[in-house]
Amino acid sequence: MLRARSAFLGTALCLFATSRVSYAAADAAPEAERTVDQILADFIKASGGVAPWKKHRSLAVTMTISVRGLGLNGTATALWTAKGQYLETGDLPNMLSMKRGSDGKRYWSQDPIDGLRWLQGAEAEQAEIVGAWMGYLQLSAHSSGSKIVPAPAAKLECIEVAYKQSTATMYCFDKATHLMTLEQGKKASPQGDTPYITRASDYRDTGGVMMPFVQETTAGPATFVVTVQKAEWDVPTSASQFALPKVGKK
Amino acid sequence: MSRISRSLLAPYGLLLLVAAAGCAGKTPNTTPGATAAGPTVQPPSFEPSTGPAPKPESRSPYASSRPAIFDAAWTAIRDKHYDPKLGGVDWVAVRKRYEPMAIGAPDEPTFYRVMNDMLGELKQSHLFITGPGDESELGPQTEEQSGGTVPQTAIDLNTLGDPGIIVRVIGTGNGAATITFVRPNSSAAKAGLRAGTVVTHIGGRPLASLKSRRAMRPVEERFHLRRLASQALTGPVGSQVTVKISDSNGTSKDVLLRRDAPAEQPIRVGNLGPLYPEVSSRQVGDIGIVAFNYFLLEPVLKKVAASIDQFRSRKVKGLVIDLRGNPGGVAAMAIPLVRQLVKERTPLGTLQHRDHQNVLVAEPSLDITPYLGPVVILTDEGTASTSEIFAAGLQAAGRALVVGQVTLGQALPSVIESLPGGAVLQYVVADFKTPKGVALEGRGVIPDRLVLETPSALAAGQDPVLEAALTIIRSKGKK
Repeated sequence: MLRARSAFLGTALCLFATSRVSYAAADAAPEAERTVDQILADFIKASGGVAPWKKHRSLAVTMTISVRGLGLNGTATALWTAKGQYLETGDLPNMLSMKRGSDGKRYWSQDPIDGLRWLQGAEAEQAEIVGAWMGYLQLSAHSSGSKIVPAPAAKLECIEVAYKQSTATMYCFDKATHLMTLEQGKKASPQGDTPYITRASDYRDTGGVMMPFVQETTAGPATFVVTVQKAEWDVPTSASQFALPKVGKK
Repeated sequence: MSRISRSLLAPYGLLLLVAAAGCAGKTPNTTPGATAAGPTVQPPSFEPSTGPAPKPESRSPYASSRPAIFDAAWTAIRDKHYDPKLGGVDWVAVRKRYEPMAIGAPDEPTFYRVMNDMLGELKQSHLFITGPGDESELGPQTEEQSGGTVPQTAIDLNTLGDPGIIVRVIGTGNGAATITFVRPNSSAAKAGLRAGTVVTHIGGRPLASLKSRRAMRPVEERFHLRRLASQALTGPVGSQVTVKISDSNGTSKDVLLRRDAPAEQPIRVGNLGPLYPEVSSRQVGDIGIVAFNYFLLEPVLKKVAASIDQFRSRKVKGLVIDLRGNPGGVAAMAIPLVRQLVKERTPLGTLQHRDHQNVLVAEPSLDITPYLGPVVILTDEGTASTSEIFAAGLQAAGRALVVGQVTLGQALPSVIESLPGGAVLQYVVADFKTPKGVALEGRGVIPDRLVLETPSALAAGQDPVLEAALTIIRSKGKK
């Protein structure tokens, strides 16, 4: 979705800038010889490029969550600003409410399992990738290399991006649309890394940005389905929204 | 692209894991899986077909769903059980053996019984299937004075109540089914029932007859009876149930009890429930006691955490956490509860999933000041699953002493998944071992101090397990 897309767009921009590959070169290259840069350049172009982002100050997305087959349903929100602030929330009734955010400098997380904490290491890096406005500033620091990897399906082309602290992630793009349709990696947490595969679909044009409205993430026996309900640019924000929740130790 | 769903994985992924004995699905689990000790499944009560799977009996309105239910359950186990080799069980051969029996079952209770027998081949807990048309071994007891029962499918599970007693098998030898708890102001309390009273029948059924079809460890058999007794006591609010009690002289009498409405609204967590969470806390002298019946983040964790915080602010000398009868719940709740009691990173154990490993670990939180005084955890044979993970973790960390009886030994994280036709399947998705590498499945948590409850002690108004815990804490205070 947009949030994810923005983060990956950052990755793409970073890699693209580093290797100085042009869109024209990407378009001309034969499929068999395509490089990471060409794949990413096509993705950037297909997803709307940087220009739409530069017109806006914030983006808010509301979503529904369901866990397939397990009878769990809830809601989630995500909010980004051009200042690098970030806030996501999730709520599953009778289960939990969680928050994660950044004031633009540090990332924090609050949920019943791992409590209220500043994120560190791989977790912080992954949060930054997710939470950055377009993501590229953070990704230019975190990405430590990339390569072409075998695709799990003929219609896809895939790259693997390595990061400084978190495990490498595979991103796959539809050869026809150049939009990202699959991501495979490991989510870091205090309990260890959890492998996941996410499939994105139902791309829609939202203010010039192509956004996947449906994402299905499978981890172990569970599949989370996140569906975008609403995406809104330039919503009003205040700094307090993104600050670490009051500690107020009991 | 997938960031939002990915970032939800950390908190939600663990939350999906249900470590609860006897909480599977929308109807109570009445046939917990056999254990690693190697119990066997008894033969089916009808002859299996030797030819192709017979067509489902047309007289059952649910029969047409059986093939899809069977296939979904069998496939889920094959593809999602944490052990791809299923402990060496030939799952294909199992299918060949059970599918004709299941599809051709004369009715839905038999269908689900065969399905559960199939799951029992894995010899693990937390494997259970139920669905429309299934009936428990007792069936919900809805007898009025005129007798009769109401089909389970006709009962609104949100309007169930009970007369306010817990019946468990306690004591020496084979033990005796005994009232171990009477809820204050309940129908049972008003009828004069007291803890320590031996119960021989519920709803006209002799408790001695409530043996499982499966071979079980003795502790599981007693747990089984406890749950069947609970099930027999449960029914529509306002209905009545007869309980036959026996005094110390062997004199029996029937007591007719009305089922009370639950104190709080039931909750559901996915396919788990309805659950009636209860939290109680009290202070005995300078020692705090908190008890709760399920591990749930909302509303249980908040209430338990508030109680602990209150005890901390009162500077109590020690804390007793009473997990007797607590069958577990949401596995991840063990982590935040431990966080209330430790000041540094504390591992509770390891979850071995099919494709990765997690360590259950409690990290300090910026917004919590933990209680750091002595902690004693009370256990009995109904302490199960998440309760066992919690108790074993704190015991291994040297943070708490465990007092009471050896726990049930059913501690495998699972999920409860909807299947076609309205069926629900609970299945194991991870193996669990304590920080010391000990598997609790089939073993349980061994208390630091074994204390046995007896009907006579309860009848005398004593709680020997709690009293042992209080003595331990007071002795620590003197050192």
